[in-house]
Amino acid sequence: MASNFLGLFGKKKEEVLAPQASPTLSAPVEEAKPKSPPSGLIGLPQGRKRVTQRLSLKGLQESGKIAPDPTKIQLPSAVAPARAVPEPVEVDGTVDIPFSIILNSIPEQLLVADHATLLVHPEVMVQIGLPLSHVLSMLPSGKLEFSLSDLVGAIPAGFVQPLENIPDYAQTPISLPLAEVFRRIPPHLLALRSDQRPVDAAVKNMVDPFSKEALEKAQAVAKEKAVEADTQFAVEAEPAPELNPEPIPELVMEESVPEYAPIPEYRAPSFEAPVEPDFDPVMLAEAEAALAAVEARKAGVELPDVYDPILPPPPAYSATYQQEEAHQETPISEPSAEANAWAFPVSGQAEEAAADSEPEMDPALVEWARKMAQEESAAQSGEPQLSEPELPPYGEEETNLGNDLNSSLAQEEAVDPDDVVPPPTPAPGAFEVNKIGMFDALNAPTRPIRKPKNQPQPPEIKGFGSFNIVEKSQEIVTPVPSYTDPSALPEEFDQATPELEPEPEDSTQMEPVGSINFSAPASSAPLLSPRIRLSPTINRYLSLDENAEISFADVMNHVRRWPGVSGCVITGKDGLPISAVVDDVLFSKSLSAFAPKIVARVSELFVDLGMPEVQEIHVPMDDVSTFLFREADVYFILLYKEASLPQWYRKVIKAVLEEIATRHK
Amino acid sequence: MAFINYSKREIQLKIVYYGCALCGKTTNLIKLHSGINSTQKGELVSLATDADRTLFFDFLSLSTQTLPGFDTRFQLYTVPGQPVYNTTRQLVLKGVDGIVFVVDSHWDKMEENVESFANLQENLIENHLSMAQIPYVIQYNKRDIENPAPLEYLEFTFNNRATQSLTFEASAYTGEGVLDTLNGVARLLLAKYSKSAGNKATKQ
Repeated sequence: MASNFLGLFGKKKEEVLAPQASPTLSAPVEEAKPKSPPSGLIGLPQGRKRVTQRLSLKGLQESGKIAPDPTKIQLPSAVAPARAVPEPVEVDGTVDIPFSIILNSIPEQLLVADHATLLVHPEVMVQIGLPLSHVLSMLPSGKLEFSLSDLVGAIPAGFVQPLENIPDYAQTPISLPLAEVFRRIPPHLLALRSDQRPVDAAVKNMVDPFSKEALEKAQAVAKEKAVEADTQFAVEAEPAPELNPEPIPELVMEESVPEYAPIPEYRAPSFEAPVEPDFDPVMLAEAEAALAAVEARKAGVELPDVYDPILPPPPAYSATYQQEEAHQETPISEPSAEANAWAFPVSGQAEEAAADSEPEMDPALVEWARKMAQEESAAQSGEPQLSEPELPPYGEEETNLGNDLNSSLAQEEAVDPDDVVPPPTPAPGAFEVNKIGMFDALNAPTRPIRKPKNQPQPPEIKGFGSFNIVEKSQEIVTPVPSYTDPSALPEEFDQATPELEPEPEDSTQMEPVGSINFSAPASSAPLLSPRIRLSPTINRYLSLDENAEISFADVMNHVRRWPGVSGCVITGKDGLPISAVVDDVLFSKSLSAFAPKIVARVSELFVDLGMPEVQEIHVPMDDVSTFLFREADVYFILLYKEASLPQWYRKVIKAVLEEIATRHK
Repeated sequence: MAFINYSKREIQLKIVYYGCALCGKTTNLIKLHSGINSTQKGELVSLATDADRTLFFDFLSLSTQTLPGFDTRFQLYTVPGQPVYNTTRQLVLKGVDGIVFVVDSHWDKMEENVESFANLQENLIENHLSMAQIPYVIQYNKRDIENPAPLEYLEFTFNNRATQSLTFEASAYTGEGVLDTLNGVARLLLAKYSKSAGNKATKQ
């Protein structure tokens, strides 16, 4: 039987024991010497010849399994000129590989013994010649396969079970190691087709769009843009307190706070609503002073090293601090002389300080300091404060014009007139009184920064942005009714249902829902994830024991047991599944990946239409309908066999999802 | 198809990294994202499974100035390599301008490489395109592994078509050859659209 297949292969050189480095394409065909089979192996039948004729491509096609595509490979001839019309080239010869390589590729159940036993036999070093034309035709497929029946005819007998014993495996493709075969193929046979059009020279010579030079150029441009932005920011953020004595309008925050107060309360009811703390005037003053210090440092004023530009520095607690503590009770709008004493040295001291730090001091700042010192000394002596230069008496403007011009020119050198902001004019009927009060309060940079003893700490903001910081003791458990009994549902759940559910009562025709359907998984039931106590509320929703520790997987398994439900997935907004119970794992991942995008996209379109955001999407289908639920960043996908979802399914899912979403935050 | 936004003076070109599963397509984009200046790139969007297998596609936007007066924005996509995601691959290939076919140099992956290359041709046909129309380059990735498939074999298998394509040896894990590959396909695209722009100008 195998004699026909023996012809498919080339010679078999039994005497060569060492692997041959270079292939022999035209070795003489010699008859194999009869050999005694290895002990325990089946030998060749008497009179059987081992080596016969050479392989032809037609014969391979007839073998049924290997159908090389002659059009895929068009080998050029060695002497073919460039761009010649390709012609199929007949390649004669074989590629010789050791029999041990083939033996290793044959599954062990087809051999008469295991690999280890057979590989110690000396006959495994026999070279088997594989037809080169067939090998070359198989190369572009990325694999090199022969049917078992083909191989049996070429390899020594006694290694593979007789095909009569394994008829079902006769056409089993045996994949030979491509690397071992390829390195024995003559390199000239692997030349590319000669009629191949080369790559366009314009493409080769083009400058790389993402070359190093281009990257460096882009980086330089980015740096320039960054420097411009910094410069612009520095100009915009020019320190105002020195030159603009009334920067109040930008800081009137208390009046704008009520605009943000009515934030919709869609968070869980068991947590406190975010509390916006009242601004403490003392804290506000300290912050303002720290801001002034930062800006002064930006302007070039050298501050002591201990002076932290970011945080207010700890004040030097003087011996008279206890006495000064009484001043804390003084309204900030009326700063006392002692309170102002720290700000800048008065009169001569100011000049000394200015002289000491003259190289770094900004002239405008020195001028402002000098003026402030004069005001403070005037306040100490009981004279009225002069916050503006004295105007000449009426009628003397012309006579004093030259002096005023000089003084104004001197001012212009220090003060940019564009930066001078006129004092705010309160609108008629506006919060004039409050603004004045706020102005006084915010005019407190000249107030010393003190840290009084036992100063009450500002209340810690809890429950703002993250519910996880709320202590357990603060949690308020909202009583939640059980939804297993439809009659116990709140009235709002029985309101008009979407038009997608015209007849929710049809579900009553289904299998009645009892405690058996909704019982929690038994303790012996396998769990997909470790049990944790998600929430007693969820347990109540699902009619489970409040103290039962369940996981997301338990919730999913529970929902999956509902009549008609063929799968459910819970996922986050990133599309990665949190838990899923769907028969097709890949489909569950696809669902979880697409659901947030679908809901987000539909919701976006609805918002564009002036409608509220979409929280549910029902997609009725003939076989299995899909229902998408969304709560915050958590999505629930339910696969249900009917086009309309029973009302109580929806209610329980929404309630559970809401609870999970709250916890998920 | 290239999208030209004249108001923004911007050309958008879509490049898809194609190849068999785990051949290094996403790694290519990660290396590009980390190696290119922040002003030229957008965020790398990657939707992967827990095992870092691409679920749908990765996306990276790179911009540069190549044509005078226009910003060229290259939108790089990868496809999931697993055979089951063929529909996703077809979707990602819609409107493709250039392709980088990533070949895994492991001997054991050769069959998958070939199947992926055939799948690429089939999916292009599904999108009414062909390999002859779409500029593509071939990246022989993972050249740093032990005993990689020799270049002669890879060229014989993947670059033996009527028109020779640009090929690049690379190791996306180390970043070697990644930028060269991108430059190669970008050059092909720019040459193609420069020619077409020139032809239109001549006709007008």
